[in-house]
Amino acid sequence: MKELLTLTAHELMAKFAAGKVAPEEFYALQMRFARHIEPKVRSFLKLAEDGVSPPSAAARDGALWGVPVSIKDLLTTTDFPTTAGSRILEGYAPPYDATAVRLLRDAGNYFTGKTNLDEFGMGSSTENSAYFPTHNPWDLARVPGGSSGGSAASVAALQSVVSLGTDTGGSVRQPAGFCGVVGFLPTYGYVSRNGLIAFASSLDHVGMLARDVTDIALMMNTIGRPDALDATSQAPADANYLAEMNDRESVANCTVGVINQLMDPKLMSEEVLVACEVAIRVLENAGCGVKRVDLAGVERLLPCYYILCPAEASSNLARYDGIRYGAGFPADISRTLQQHYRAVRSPGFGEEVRRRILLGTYVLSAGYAEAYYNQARRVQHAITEGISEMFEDVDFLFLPTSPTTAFGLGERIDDPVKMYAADICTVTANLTSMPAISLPGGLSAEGMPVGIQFIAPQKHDGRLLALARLYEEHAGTGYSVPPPVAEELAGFEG
Amino acid sequence: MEYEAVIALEIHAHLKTARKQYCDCPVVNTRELADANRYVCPVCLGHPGVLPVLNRESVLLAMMLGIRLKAGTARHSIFARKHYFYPDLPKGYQITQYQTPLNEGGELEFLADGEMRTAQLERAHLEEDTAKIFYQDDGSILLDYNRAGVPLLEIVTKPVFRSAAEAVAYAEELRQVLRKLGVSDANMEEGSFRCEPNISVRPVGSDELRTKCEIKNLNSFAVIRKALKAEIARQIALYDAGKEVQHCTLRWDEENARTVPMRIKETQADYRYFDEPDLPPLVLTDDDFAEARKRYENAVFALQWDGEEHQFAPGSAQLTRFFLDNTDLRENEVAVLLEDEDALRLLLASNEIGGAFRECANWVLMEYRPRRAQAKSSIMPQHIADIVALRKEAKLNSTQAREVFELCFERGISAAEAVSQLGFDQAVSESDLQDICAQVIADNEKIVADIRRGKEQAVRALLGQVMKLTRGKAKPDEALAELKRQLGM
Ligand SMILES: [Zn+2]
Repeated sequence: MKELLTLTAHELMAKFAAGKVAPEEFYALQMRFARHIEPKVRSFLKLAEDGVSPPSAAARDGALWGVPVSIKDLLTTTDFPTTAGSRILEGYAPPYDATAVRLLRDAGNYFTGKTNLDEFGMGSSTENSAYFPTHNPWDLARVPGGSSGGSAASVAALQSVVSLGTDTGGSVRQPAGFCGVVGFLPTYGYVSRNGLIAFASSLDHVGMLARDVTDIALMMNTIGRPDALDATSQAPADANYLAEMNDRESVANCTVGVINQLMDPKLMSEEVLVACEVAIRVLENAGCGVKRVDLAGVERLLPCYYILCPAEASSNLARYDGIRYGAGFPADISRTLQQHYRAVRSPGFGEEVRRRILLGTYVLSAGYAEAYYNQARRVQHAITEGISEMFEDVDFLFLPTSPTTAFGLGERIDDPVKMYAADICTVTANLTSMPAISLPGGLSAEGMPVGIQFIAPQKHDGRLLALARLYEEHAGTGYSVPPPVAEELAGFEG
Repeated sequence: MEYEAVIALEIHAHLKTARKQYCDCPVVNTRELADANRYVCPVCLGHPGVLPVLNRESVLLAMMLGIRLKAGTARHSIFARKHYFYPDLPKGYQITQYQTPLNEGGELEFLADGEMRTAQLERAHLEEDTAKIFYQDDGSILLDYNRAGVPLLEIVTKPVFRSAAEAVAYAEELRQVLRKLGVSDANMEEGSFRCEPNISVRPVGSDELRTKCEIKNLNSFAVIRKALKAEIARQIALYDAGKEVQHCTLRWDEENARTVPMRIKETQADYRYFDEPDLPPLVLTDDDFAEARKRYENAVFALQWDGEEHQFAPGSAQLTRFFLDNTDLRENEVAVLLEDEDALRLLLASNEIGGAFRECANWVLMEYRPRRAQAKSSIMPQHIADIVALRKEAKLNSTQAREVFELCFERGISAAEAVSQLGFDQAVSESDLQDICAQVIADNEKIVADIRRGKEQAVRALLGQVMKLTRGKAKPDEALAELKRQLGM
């Protein structure tokens, strides 16, 4: 029975429908293996206890049903404490479920637990978790990427079939690329942010990770819904992403623009460029037109992103004062207010979070806001306009997911700028509110996964999934079980 | 040197909505600590992951005020985050409007020293209230988030007031406007109308704006007046002594009758405003404007006067002016009537039926209002008009008229029916009058003796007794004649 663990969600749902295995039976198996391999990978901040089962819901056509899902610990859950990977929320029990979590549960899915992340989503390696780092299932000495590193690792390491992540500058796509799974960033507002613990509100998206594109479409059909609790929600009420994914007509003879500046050997490693060139040939073979395009201002992407996102972060993290919940609650009244803030916030936040709060406070300060924050907003507009113009010539953009494959644990932790550079390919979609997807693009010579990425214009999510599916079919580089996981699976009793 | 004050007012008014500004919690103005934190949710407590959703009702109320103040209401406005750390601020920022207020400019007429003046406004924008702080004796504070997220309208004037009295007169008028519009309860004691003046002084004739100070936590108009006067005097004294005024936030020290700096020293605050990413721009449609206009029209006060309809913008200045110019009501009476719309409507309707405005006003002010404070009223304008007419025709004396009024008030029957039930329409027969006079003479030997000794005025006392025994139905001249006849006067 343990071979069921390598199935995708839609394959599994077919087994459920055929009565080959019951969802609760599979969930039990899933949890046994998740626990079995957990000491090696450490994907989870909190694994589900036995017996957490969803309300009985009938399987709905085209939606995810009966499937074990892991949830990034940046989304609120009433079943599990929610920490955001931070000491400041240690033991915090949210009084409500994130909308995406609620929709998954109501549809009849199981939760495997809360996955590890960089504190508040700030990082690209999951090493900024206040608790412990997660290991890449392909090479346990490397990082899984971040900040949704636990989510990506849990899907790659067969600890969950799919996962709910969040993506502010690449936090779903980059770890998906590092771990050889699919990572999807929907258009801003297509999945409710209610319950997504805010990092940079205008750039934060709920995203998802899976072993193939079809599972992404199933998840979108389940959680990509309008939500009255999110004023920026703009999801179409009756979209069917599975049908759109299967609509080949929508991508017949489409043109894919390859961004020259992000295929630059000075920025991208050799192995990534090789995988990209292979992917481009796959697209051509699949009947897509490929056009080389220039994106002006690539050098401004990271500065723009690393001004806007700390600015919003400094604001969003102001609420953690230990007065109503979280670390420091209830307040020690022998302290003055200043002493209280200091006692709660200084040890409560890790180094990277403190750095970004300080950066963000600085760029919003009177006298500096114009030079930094307002300027970055203007650059963001210019970038959005530039990309929108490109979409007059091409239907999609193609670019790598990351400049490199997964790097070693500890390798970049002391060099924040080098760490930030890992986001160069992913921040564009967040800055422009556009949907993007990272797909497995084969393995490097060292046997590490390489991610390739497509971006579509805003609200073309279904069509983007159709292109991704087309690529997936022709590439033959989809998810495979990482060797260390295969080894564990072999030794697993079932 | 002679100085004049330069005062601007910043007024925070709670908007009268059923729900809070950005969440679904009901707005309940609780006072007791025991009721603290009953009306809260993850959103207004600033829990991780929550998002604000704008209450459109508050927008409509603010638009109504915009119409009243002839302000420019923005079809497209944005919300911003204003950051500072304080325990009463759950998110570490307040969601407010910064660069684009909902209402910009505008003006308000108000009466000061019996003269109509106009205050120019800067802006009126939407924001949310903070939690309420209960200061404990041990130095700790307790927080009540029932108030956190209650919709607020911040209404700011230009520095247009030249005296404490003028500033207070404007604030009183604005409070009336908010109440009459139904936009706010505007209750100072309950904190739903909070007034923060800022003041500077300058030599008369100059147009410079000198360093200003802000006064906070003023909880009545009387206190505002006192605090402003004291602060003006303080600043003048400083300049006279060759010193400078330092920018600061003050509070009113009632005991020593002076303004003193707030305990928490505010450094030059940097609020780090930026556009609220969780709220899309507020876009107003033609339908919104039509709805606000409709609601505004409903609040306009219309009255019939000499067969003509007069309309008054919600508030009190214009109506007061009208009554002072057209009736002999005194200013304090007008103020009472404007606070009590039922009484005012009753008066106007009674007057419309039979005229005699002053008499109708007396009935409303002196008989209707005190009674209504005790019991439910069934009185109709026709009753008052009829009673006034009966008095005029001398068919009732004042005591009888009050009894008639009382019966109409309690039972809602017509004045004629009340008169008949009370028997005020039956005259006393001649023989009854003779008997009653004889009785009164017999019962009052002492008075009769006085009369006989030549103190003829004492017969009036006997007449009073006769009127009392006939319950006012005897005709006083006839009764007096009969008494004199029996006494042989
Ligand atoms: Zn609430």
